[in-house]
Amino acid sequence: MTKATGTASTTAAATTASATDPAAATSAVGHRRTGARTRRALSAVGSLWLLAALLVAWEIVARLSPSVFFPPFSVVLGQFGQDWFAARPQTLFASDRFLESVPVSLSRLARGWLLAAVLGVAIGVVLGRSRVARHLYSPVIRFWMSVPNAALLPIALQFFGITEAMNIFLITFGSMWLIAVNTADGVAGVDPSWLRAARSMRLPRPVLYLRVILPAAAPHILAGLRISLGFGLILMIVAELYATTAGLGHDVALYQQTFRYREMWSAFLLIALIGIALNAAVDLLERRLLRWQRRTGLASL
Amino acid sequence: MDITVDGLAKRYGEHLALEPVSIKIGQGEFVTIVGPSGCGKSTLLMMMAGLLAPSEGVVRLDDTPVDGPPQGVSVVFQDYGRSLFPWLTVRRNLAMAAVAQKLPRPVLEARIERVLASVGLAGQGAKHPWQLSGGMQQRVAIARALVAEPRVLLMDEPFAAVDAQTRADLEDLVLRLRDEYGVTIALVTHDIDESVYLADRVLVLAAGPGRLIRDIAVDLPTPRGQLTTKRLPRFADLRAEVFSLVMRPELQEVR
Amino acid sequence: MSGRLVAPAASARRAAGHPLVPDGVARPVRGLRTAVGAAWARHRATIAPVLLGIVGTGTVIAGWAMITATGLVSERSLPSPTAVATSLPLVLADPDLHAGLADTLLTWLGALALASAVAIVLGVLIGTVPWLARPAMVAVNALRSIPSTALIPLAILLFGLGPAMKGAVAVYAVAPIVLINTIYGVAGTEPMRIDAARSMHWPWWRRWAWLVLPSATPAIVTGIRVASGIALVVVVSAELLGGRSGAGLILVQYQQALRIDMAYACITVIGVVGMALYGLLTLAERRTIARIHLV
Repeated sequence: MTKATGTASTTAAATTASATDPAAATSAVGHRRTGARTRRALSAVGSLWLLAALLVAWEIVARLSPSVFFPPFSVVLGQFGQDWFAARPQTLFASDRFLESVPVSLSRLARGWLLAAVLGVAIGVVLGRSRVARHLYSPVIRFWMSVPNAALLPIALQFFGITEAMNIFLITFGSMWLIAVNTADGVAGVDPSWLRAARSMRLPRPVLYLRVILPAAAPHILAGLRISLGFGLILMIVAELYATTAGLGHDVALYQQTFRYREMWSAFLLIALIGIALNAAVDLLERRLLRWQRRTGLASL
Repeated sequence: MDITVDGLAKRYGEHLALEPVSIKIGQGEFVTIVGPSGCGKSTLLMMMAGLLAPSEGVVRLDDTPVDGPPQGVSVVFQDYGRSLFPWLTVRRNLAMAAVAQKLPRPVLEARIERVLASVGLAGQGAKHPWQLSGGMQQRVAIARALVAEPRVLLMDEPFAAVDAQTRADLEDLVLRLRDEYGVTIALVTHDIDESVYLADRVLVLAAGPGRLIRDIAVDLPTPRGQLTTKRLPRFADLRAEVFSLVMRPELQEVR
Repeated sequence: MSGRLVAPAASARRAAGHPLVPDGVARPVRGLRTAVGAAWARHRATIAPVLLGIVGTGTVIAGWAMITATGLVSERSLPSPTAVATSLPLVLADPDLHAGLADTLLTWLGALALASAVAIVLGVLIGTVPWLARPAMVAVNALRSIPSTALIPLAILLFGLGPAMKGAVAVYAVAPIVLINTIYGVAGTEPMRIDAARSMHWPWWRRWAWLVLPSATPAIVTGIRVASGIALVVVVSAELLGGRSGAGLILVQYQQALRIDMAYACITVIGVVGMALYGLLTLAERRTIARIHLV
């Protein structure tokens, strides 16, 4: 269950785009850095037009055939400003509603996902280093990876009741197996030459793991973390829709049940922006940590 | 540090990769190991480095038997791209080699700067390996081996992946470093010129099964020079001798 | 250190002249004993993982049994493995679960097929237009950044509580993944091959059918495999949140009837089905990619 190809695809698209860009070839060597930056900014703006066109199309269609379920984009945008923002510099312009919902949801996601990352990487390293452990536990792990994790919701509810722990358990348990499997793949696939070099240098265990094995497996681990973040978000929302008293999913359910469809859409917009921000953050982390991989041409498609 | 190789052999299941070999390498000696593909020369070196368990026999450093990578021995691998750690800077790559010695920070840093200077990479410490050319990366690999201040340097076809010009530079670098650091060196190569040019002694291996067929003392004057040494008639003789052994071992053996 | 004074065997000479065999690599030696040894090794390589897997699963179940035996966790939250095992036949015989599973799987399959078909057609069209590929990626990534489950309330408004609601959310979850993979696969067609096809004066439809689609297939199939897991999660989520039918609903009913042992058994069944589907899709993916690479 890997969206690694999804990750690779965006990188690949970026490289092909710059390769076919005639401006790239003619840019002067001295200005390469700034030139590349401007070019990247320009191409980012240049690739936004289709999204803008789709939003305009939404506006037109919604105005031509009015429906309570589908307010026009401009109306949603207005509602968005009204719902989530306030003219208060001391709370960074966030409205009360924003402060009631967003931190709750994000802290659930953060705690659940970070716990999943720690557990998943730890389990994955053990499995990746030991073939016996891999054989012993891969059926169990594959089982947990294949259970549609939302199905655990009724049981988590039975176990924890309507508590924070229930939310966090669902997010953690739903995303850790994927991280574990990806980490195990990465660790088992570390180039033996690096391990041999490390052995010849008689590196102590902690250094071997922290400085050699984990960085070498980082491409796989980060791919797992990225996909699991998407799963975490899905599960966070399900848990909030199903049984909670606060959070973004709870808000969406509330607006739907009280026929406040504009507010529902404005919540969708906020959730989408949060999703985009989280993705961008993981992207940035990946770029930073895997700079060596792209530069050495070891990044495989 | 003396290296004693005593009846060292390696088999994989039924297959004999290296017949029992016995060698003695004295302190400060530069020995090259040359032979065709499949003669077990890298296998021999990896067993000397304690990275591969022998099927028979033993390697001794002075009088201590080797079981696992010993202290005081550094290895330079063939493929610098896959033995340097690309996620670390040059300086950190070098520091890794001395982690096991637990040096105080200033001592370690001074040592790293000194080694970088002696391989001609002064001021490149903050770069990553992939920002350097192939030849420079192999210099980093050699520097990394020297940071541990080894008494024995084992090199596994260290120049196989670089171009001829760079190769000549690196050969002279290794000769200079041998004098500067006083290390014992065993270097595996498939290049016959290189084996003669660098060595005090050339060990010639044959393949199928891998075995040692000749131990040639190189009586060329020192210091060596790419032009002066390779122009000598004696160099040509030795080169021819090694060449005929490597290319046609069966003819030589029945002599 | 002199060489041996005998002529080496002919086989040795052959091997010496073999430039492709690197140092220290074991070469296969033919012989009866090694053939038997190899057969045994092959045998062991397939049997050992299975045995170990059974042992590993056993230890996990034993650990579970120990936790329930100590009474650390209430029977009402975590029933013992024996309780779940005894209710497993009960659950397996439950006609409601059969209907529910069938409903879930049909919705899943329908959504997957529909979303894939639409996404592949769209993706091929977009992927062949170079200036459209990147803006399309950006737009798709932006539009899908709402977690699919958040849209379940909207889907309930639009489609009611029937299978169409579940299917719609699953399509929303699946289509972007397949679309992005298709665009990427199509855009990644080796340009030299396209030039070659042009030089052979292939009409556009042949270029697509013989060249572009085959080279995009691995990416497309991988996309479908990844999307299938997400689709199942989404369908079950929709059933939990208000679907009128499906395995998720049955699960909720067991839980509400306080038959938690049956809920666990039900999850086991759903998990095994999910594992089987995932295994099948992985197999299909591997087969397809292998076949494409042969061409």
